[in-house]
Amino acid sequence: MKHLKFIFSLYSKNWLSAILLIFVTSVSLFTLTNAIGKYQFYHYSLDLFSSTKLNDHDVYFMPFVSEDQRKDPESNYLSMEQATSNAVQQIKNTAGVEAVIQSPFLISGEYKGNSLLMAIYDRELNEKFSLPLETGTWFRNTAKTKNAEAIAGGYSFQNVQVGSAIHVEYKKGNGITKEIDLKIVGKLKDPSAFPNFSLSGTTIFADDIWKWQDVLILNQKNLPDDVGKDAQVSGSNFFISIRSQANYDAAVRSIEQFGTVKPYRKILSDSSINAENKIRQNLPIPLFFLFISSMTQLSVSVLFVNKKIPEFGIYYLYGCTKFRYFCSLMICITALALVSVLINFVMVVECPALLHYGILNLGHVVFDCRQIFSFVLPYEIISLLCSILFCFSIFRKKTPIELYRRLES
Amino acid sequence: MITLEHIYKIYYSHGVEFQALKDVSLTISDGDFIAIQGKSGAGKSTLLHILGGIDDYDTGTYRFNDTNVADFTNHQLAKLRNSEIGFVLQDFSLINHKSVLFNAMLPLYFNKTPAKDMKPMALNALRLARIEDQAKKPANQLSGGQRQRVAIARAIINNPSVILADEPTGSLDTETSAQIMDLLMSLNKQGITLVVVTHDNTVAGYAHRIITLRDGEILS
Ligand SMILES: Nc1ncnc2c1ncn2[C@@H]1O[C@H](COP(=O)(O)OP(=O)(O)OP(=O)(O)O)[C@@H](O)[C@H]1O
Ligand SMILES: [Mg+2]
Repeated sequence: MKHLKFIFSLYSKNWLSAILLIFVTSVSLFTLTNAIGKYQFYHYSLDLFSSTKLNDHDVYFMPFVSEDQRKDPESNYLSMEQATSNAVQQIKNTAGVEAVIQSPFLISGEYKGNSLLMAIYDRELNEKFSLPLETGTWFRNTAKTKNAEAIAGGYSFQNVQVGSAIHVEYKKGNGITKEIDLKIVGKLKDPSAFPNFSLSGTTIFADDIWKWQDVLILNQKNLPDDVGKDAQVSGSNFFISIRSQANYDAAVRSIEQFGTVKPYRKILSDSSINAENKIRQNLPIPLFFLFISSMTQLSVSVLFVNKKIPEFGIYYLYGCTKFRYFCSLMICITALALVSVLINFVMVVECPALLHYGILNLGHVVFDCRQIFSFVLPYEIISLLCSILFCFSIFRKKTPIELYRRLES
Repeated sequence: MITLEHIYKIYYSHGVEFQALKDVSLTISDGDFIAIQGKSGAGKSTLLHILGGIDDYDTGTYRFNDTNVADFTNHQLAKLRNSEIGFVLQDFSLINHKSVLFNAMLPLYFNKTPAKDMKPMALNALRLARIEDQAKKPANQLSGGQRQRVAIARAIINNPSVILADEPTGSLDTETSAQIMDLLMSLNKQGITLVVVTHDNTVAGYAHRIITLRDGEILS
């Protein structure tokens, strides 16, 4: 206890630099964490995409009509619902096409006073897009049940247990409030995402076909019919399954008359390249910050030791050995680094909540403690060791007797 | 009891040798009061530093209570300084921004004194040095005489057998000097051995024995 008190007393006259060091290190570590989080986000979206049961015969399809054009009241294009359903029909009639996987229909509702999104999974989506679950299972019930099955995803549902029933409200177009009771059969792995196909560009990456937000995925099979009618189309593009490799080229050629096609494999390979590019673009900033933080670490440590060397002469007189004093100083410096790492750790652990409440806005990130700390800890250890070695080289040369003489004169 | 036999101390600076102590032999018995005098540069501080185990010597033997100090490890030397020796130096030796109490209890951080005893012991030492009323003040708000009292309180906190003082009254006026010397004398009367380096003949007048150094040698 008194040893700790003694070590703590060494911070006096050094508080400002200590706070500066903690601040700079925390900011740098968080920049690093964020870059790793971004990188992991691209990898995670790619993993999600690979976890779908899409395969080489599947293509992403974008009809020629853009959504902006469709929304233009002057134009005499069809409504999005109409256009999409026509396109789906047309594609389904094409030879060689096995199935059309449409973007899920959406309903915005309310759960415990918070707005939420419900996405309806039809048979095709259920078959191809059963995303990784934290707990529970994907929909197996095909008959209508009292409570429709639902999979919950995201921070809003963190306290909802698998097997429990929840009550959701939503407003119909005519303003009437409707209620549904749902039975949670599974929970999505974090971060929560569900398929949404509404891209208009020609380069499509895995992260684009996911909507990253809290969601209730509903099983269309046992959803009351009227609920399905209240849902809205969420994207006018879709995936198309082609029956076999033999039909592939012919089928693609004929559907390309209605729009643009992007093969599954191409999306996969483009996304990998995109992930690598993104990390390359994102890396310079954290590296710069880490450099600054290492320099701060070094200069604050040296400043710390230099400021405390004159006092060493006094402590030495009364029985403090050189080794002990140096160790005490280094514990002070290590503690500052530890505090920064701890701040970083708390940020990472609390990130889902901070993001949910809008306290932090980091764009898309996936934080995995183990991954992050396999970068943060070695960095901190190396940076700290360098500072300690440098301080040692300064402190080593000081003899107490020389300090008395300097102070005497 | 302290014995020095044929101590030599050589400083090397910029390739030049300088003999700071030459063949110094000295016996200091328990309860003694010795004043060390001599011109500036005569080697007084050097001798005191060697006695205190904060500087080393080149040849000769230094025995503290019949143990050869040369055989001590760093740790044992630190223990010697902590428990057997109290230092009072001219005026720099307080940690200025810390409280008087912290300064007085500083030696207790480096031995096995339980944390809860530290404050009472420090207050007691400050009382013996008649400065306990200033315990909470930062050291840099004290006058020269008060600072020296705090240094004395710190020196006696571990009941040392020897107090080594280097110009303890060097920056004090005559009246305050006399008060500090009275305080040191009273400690000597309680059995603590006193070695005081001083320029001041009045201060030296308190001593049982005066040793004069010239160019690193003791004048007999
Ligand atoms: N590190 C050193 N390197 C070289 N010479 C030194 C060193 N330290 C002390 N000296 C020399 O040793 C001699 C003795 O020094 P010391 O400090 O013991 O003198 P002193 O008698 O205490 O003088 P003062 O009365 O001025 O304090 C001086 O000439 C000094 O210059
Ligand atoms: Mg001197």
